[in-house]
Amino acid sequence: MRKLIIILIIFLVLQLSALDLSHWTQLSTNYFSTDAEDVVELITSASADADNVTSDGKFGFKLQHETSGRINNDLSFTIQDEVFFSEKSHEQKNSFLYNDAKLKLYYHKQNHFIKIQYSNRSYEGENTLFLNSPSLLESIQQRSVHNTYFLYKGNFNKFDLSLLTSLRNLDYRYARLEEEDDEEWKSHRAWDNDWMTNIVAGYQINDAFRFFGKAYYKDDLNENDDYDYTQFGAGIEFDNRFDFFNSLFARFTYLNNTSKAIADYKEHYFLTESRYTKRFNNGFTGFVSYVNRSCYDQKNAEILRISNVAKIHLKYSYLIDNTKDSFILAGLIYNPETDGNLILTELNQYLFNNCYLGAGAKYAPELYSQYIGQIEFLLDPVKSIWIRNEFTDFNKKFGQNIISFGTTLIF
Amino acid sequence: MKKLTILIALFGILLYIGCDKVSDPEFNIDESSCNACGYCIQICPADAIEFNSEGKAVIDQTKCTSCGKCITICPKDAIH
Repeated sequence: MRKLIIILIIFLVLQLSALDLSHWTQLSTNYFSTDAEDVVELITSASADADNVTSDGKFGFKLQHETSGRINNDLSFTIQDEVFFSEKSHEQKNSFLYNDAKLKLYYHKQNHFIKIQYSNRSYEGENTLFLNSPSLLESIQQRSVHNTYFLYKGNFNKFDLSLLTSLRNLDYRYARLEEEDDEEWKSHRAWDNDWMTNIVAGYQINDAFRFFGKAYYKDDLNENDDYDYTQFGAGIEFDNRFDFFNSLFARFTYLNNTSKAIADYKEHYFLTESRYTKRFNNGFTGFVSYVNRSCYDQKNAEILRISNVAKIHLKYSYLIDNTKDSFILAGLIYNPETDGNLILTELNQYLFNNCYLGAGAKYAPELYSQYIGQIEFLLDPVKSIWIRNEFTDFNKKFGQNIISFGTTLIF
Repeated sequence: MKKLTILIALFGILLYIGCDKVSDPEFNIDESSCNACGYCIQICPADAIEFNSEGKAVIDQTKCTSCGKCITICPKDAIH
């Protein structure tokens, strides 16, 4: 595998001078503070390295870069990288330092599309916080995650086919108490592998209706098969743009689940999705969506609710220029089963000389409230600098604040 | 179109009123809302979230412990 990746990288580097490259870069630095007494327990569930985690302010930075290019008419590629560093534990991360890299190669000819992807997330070893994955016996520290994908999509008249296969490798370390060695904790290194395949085949009945069937299989390549997962499904979808102002998408899927790690009553699983989008003449756009997940409990012969999610968004754009539009947005999410009810509002307002003011607020009664303010200055349509403040109150248990300063460049 | 919309709405209302809730909540990611920022992957304490081939985050239901940490971190409110 490594040889293949190296050959692929060399091939791409040799071709670079002849390629039509485009770049996107974002660099930001942030200052994080919180009034939580024990950030570790509340935020990351980690138990280790508590001395290194305090409620004091801490600096960090994030650099994201993406390069895209075309090798020839059929072949193109994308390279993405993200580096994150924080002085101490951070509210959004399991590690103080990590690097996330992705290499994607695309082949597109007529009705055939192939994508080959390799991605790697590397974590700084010593200070990575502990995780509890149910498929692993120990509390683990991630070292690295390797992921390879192969995706094929094809269209044959009214038929379509999608085949995805993926291999995931988690490289981790764990500590174990060695009784033979005067009961000393010793660090061990191990690997966890998952292999999955997903096939979807569809038939376009007419312009709007499509029938499809799918099969999914995940093999936990470890010793036991408790986390293996097999899923078969079939469904019908309706996707139609009636005119410029109205479109509707609806899909019903039946799924049959088999896994020791999934409750028996979720064997027969029903997924219903719908989304209606409406555009008005006067600057208003919006959508209403509804997703229902239910299952049939064969043992007790009853249908059970898993989740219901209803969303409404309404956006009013009142000033549109060459770079960004000024708008106000309001939204509502109703999700009673997982306490995910949410009210949100967002504003983007042109101030003067390519300067924009952004503001947002979210209120989830059971979970949190969040307030965001941002000022962005556009040097030109593809280059900007911004300063942003984000305050989150976690259900009155503790609050956290992040001040960020950054720049975005496309060249 | 109106008939189909009404049919889906009625179906949902009937399921909501007439059916009991499952004892263990299950979280899923709305692919149409996901912006692939990866925050949920970086916070998940069960190593249960990964990007799929389309670059969208997906929860592995065999590993998810339903702790709910990913919900509050998602900037696009895509996890339910």
